[in-house]
Amino acid sequence: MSLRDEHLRHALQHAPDSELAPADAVRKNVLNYAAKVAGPKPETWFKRLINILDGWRVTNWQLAGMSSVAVALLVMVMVREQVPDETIWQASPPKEVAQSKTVTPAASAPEQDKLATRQDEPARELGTAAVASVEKAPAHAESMQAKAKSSLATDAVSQKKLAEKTEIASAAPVLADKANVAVVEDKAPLASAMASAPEVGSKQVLSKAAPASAPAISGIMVYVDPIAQALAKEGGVAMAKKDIEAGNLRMLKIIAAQECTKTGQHESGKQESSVDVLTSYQIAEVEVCATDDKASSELLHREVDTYNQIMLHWYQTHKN
Amino acid sequence: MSDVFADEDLIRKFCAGEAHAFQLLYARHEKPLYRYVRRLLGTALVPQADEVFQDTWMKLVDARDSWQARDNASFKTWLYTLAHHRAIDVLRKAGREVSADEGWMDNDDYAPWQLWPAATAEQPEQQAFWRKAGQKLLNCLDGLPELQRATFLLHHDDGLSLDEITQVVNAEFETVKSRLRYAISKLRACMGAHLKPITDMDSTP
Repeated sequence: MSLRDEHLRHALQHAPDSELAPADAVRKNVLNYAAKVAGPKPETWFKRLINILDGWRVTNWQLAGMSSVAVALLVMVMVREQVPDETIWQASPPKEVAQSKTVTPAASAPEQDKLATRQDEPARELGTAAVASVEKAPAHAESMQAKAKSSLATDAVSQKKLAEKTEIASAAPVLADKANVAVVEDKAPLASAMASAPEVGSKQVLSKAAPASAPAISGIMVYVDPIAQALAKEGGVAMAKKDIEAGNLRMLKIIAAQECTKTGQHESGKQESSVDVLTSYQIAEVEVCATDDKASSELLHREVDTYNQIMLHWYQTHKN
Repeated sequence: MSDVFADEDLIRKFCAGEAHAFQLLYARHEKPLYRYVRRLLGTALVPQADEVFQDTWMKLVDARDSWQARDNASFKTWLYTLAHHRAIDVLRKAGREVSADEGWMDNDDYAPWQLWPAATAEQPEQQAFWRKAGQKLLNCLDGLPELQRATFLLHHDDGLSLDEITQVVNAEFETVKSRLRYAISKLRACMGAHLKPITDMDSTP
């Protein structure tokens, strides 16, 4: 027996109700209900953005142009953030050869006064602990101390008092013990720091080449190595320019000396020279002894950063 | 355009928020579904056909998201399942259930329809015969138990397979098959007892 009877099926197809349909009201209710429920779902911000862009009906050429402009802007921003500020170059001092000036014990008082007056203003501005030690001019040192509370010291005894007042206590005792005459006429904070250090103090290093942009420090680093000396004397900008002119392309890296003595002598922790990954320049290590003086440490880091930025800029502009 | 998309494509579009897809679906299934509901309810409950029909579609709209989760589900099966259960609820509430499956003798030898015109005949007088036969068949359907009636209608009018019918009426395959056999036998007997073959009609003055 078949499970589909064609005669019954045919009769069913011709039944009087075969063409009947629901009432119009029913049809309307159903369709309205569906339309209401199936209304547009809340769009996400991304879909709205797509719809807006779609509504603009931009051509492919217009789209390509806008994309190019956007990419160019992005590249400009990125490059601009990498290149060191041009003002660094402009603010750097002219190439001055460090001038040493020794004030002999026989220096006259008027000369000392003139010197102190000349040094007073920048010393105050920079807040530098510029130290001058004149063993044989104690009387005049008193007036210098009054005028230049920030840094000038006249003799070993007054140096101590002044150092306490000007927060360079760490340098003053050493300087007093040495009793060497050393007048530091240096606006570079690191140079002044070196001047007060034992070794440097004995050599009467006087440096005048200080970068105008170099910020001052209020403390003294106990020891700096030759590269740090050069940084202190010339500043990161001048030193970088000099190295570039000399073809001495390198990057600097500050490392901590393994062991430092009170006098600044240290065990060298330098390792074999490594190479900078980006520029392929050799990395020269600048050893420093740990110091409590944050200002000095930050200053040295800043000079090294400046030096490295200039080297990096040189590399980027001349790598081809 | 409506024929381009399968039912499943349209319901997916509707679920995605395209109300127009639902209009196509509705237009495609409006009359067949309405016929099924109306015939399943029977002559006595015809006034409730519109209500059942409307409830079915609205329930479908509300449950559209649950349909998406069903794998390999036929939209048509789902639609008729909803309509079937809604109609059965009305029948039960109205106390119109006919549950006597037993007591019917299948007799293939008794086949007065064998003298009827061919089912494909489209002569005017033959159309009149089939129209009369259709009306008679509706009357005979009223005498069938609801599940036999549903099985017969789904298989003969709506073209569902036995497997699909098992889903709609929620019954085993063999159960569906036996109910269909019962329904056909009863209808044949019912029709043969009331309709004369066309040859007799032709001879009637």
